[in-house]
Amino acid sequence: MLQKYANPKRFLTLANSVLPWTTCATVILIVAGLYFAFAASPPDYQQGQTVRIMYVHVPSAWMAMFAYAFIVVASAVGLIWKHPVAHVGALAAAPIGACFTLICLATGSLWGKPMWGTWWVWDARLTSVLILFFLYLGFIALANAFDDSSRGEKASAILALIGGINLPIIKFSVDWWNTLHQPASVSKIDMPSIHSSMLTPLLLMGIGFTALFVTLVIIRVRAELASRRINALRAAKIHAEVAGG
Amino acid sequence: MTRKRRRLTVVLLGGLALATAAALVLAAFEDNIVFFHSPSDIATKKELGIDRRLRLGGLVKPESWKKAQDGLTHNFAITDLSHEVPVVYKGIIPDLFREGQGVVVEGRLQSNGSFRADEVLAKHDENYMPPEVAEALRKSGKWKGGADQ
Amino acid sequence: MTEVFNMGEYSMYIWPAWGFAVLVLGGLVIASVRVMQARERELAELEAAKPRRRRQKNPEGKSA
Repeated sequence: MLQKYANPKRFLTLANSVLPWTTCATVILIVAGLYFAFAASPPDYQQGQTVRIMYVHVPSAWMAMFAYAFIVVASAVGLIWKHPVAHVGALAAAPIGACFTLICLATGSLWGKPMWGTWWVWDARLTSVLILFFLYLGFIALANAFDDSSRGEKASAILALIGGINLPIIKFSVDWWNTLHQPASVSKIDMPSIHSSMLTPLLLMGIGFTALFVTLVIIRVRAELASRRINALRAAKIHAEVAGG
Repeated sequence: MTRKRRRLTVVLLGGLALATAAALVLAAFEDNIVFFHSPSDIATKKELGIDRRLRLGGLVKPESWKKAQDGLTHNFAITDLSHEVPVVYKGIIPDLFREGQGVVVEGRLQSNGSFRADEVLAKHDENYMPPEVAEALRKSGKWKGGADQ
Repeated sequence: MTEVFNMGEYSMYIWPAWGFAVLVLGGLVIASVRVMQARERELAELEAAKPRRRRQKNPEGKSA
């Protein structure tokens, strides 16, 4: 199964058949999510209208972590099974994850100011998410730091695996230590937590962002595979000219 | 196959070593990672004295919040239901600040046992619901949540 | 419709938050699609040009 899609051509055939579906799903889910986020959901009993920031902040936070988990798995597959498309996939996901992390930090700050009374605090949750953002930047920088792209892939994959330790720290930071950030609402089974009228936009945006992530990964993988093919063709042409000349 | 198996072992062992190291480091620095100390910590831990800046967190004790004539000085008590610390703060209070709600203040303990804060941060809980639902839940007695806005 | 866009005193936090997200994600989508289209066009041109150039044994190559 894994080895089958190590072949870029076969991978592209599969990806291209999925692409129209994920594109449609992205548009429909995000439009529905926006409708519920702004028109069809009530203000919060304590936070009033600012609860509407949650519908972009929390799904972005989910995606920030999901994209990094994707990179960790893809990097491990690339390192252990020498799967070439896995490294390309990890590299494609990194800027997307970095964007979601940035959105999570910015919207969190804009939510924290009116509710907590501060734009930023150095508590365990906020700090570990900031570290996640720098891990993304480090991964992208390292992947592009070598002339030989296979060395960049290897180095960045190792960084991704080491940085993976940050994911459980982000997730459990609010349970392990006391923080200004409140614990999770959605995974909690107890009573109130989050009312269904607020859960609907949250989940719609969350699934919509996941579909957007898949769509963007496919687009970026296609771009990267095309540019590798271009480089290979150019190299072959120069080689042929040198040999023929 | 053996080379793949070897790379797999290296990655798994490396991950295990990394997780252990991280757990040890985090456990060692636990006191520095906590964002605030509770009134019970203040009462029991000797190192939390008047000589250092610290953050104190807990619930604003119901019916303890008094605004002074100037409209800027606030007196209230922070409680964790077993100990409480009186707090004096001069400044603007965040919108979510309410009696019975979570709060984190930053400042110094005074020799008289009160806490002089120069920053007040409201902490909100993980419950989200429309006002009517909160009201209904409170009436039914199933839930004793924080005050409405 | 107007009450949807009027978020009261918190408008100054809610709209910048969503605006920032739209800007970042929109920029990412546009950049990703543009790069893909440019690369695939370039690749198509290169692949179309390849057999002809080989037959011609192009003169530029000799002079270089």
